[in-house]
Amino acid sequence: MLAGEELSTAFSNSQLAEMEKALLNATRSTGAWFCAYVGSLPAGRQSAVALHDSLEFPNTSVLVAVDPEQRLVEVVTGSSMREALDDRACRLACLTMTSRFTVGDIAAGIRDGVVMLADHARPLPSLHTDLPD
Amino acid sequence: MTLTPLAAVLIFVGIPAAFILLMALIILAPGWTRVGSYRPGEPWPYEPLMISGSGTTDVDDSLAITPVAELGEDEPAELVFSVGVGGASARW
Repeated sequence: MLAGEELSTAFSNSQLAEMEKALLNATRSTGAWFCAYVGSLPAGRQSAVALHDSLEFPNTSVLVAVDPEQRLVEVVTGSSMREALDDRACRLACLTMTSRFTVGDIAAGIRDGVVMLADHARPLPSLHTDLPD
Repeated sequence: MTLTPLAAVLIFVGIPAAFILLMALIILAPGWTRVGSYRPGEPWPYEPLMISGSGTTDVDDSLAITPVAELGEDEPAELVFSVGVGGASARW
């Protein structure tokens, strides 16, 4: 990397694939929409909550937002998710992620945090069930 | 056959030192050559990303993460909390 040169991508293709796979598995297993943001959070949690609000289905979404420069990670869960994924589980996931972030491995931290959130989350109740005859 | 002092130093010091140097190079060299490795606390030089199970996209500038930062000096910062959201925060 040359001095002053900005790289356009933060992660390699394999790192992106790992994170996308973890997010997809979490979405499928819980019924909630999991996504991750890596970038600047100028107002800290307020920025993370604003990002969460901008998602397509914020009430059933879980956002993991990481600001590597400020060394800040925020987990934001939608109002419908609070029973399925409580704040204590989110704090545990944050601890898991920060242990990876400390050594600079942002991708692995996000992956491990999403896996832990999905493991702790109870599946959202489905209103549409096909009952066997 | 007796060893000369130079031979003794080369055998008993040189060979272990060369082995240790080789092991150090094998362990440390990948870190020197890795492109784009990031160290915590350094400025983040990359574009913000939103990653989901359906793919990764650059974050749109119109998302509501900038209004607070763009507020003038005389305007109070507004809390942008949504009602009922949960979660947690952490720093490292």
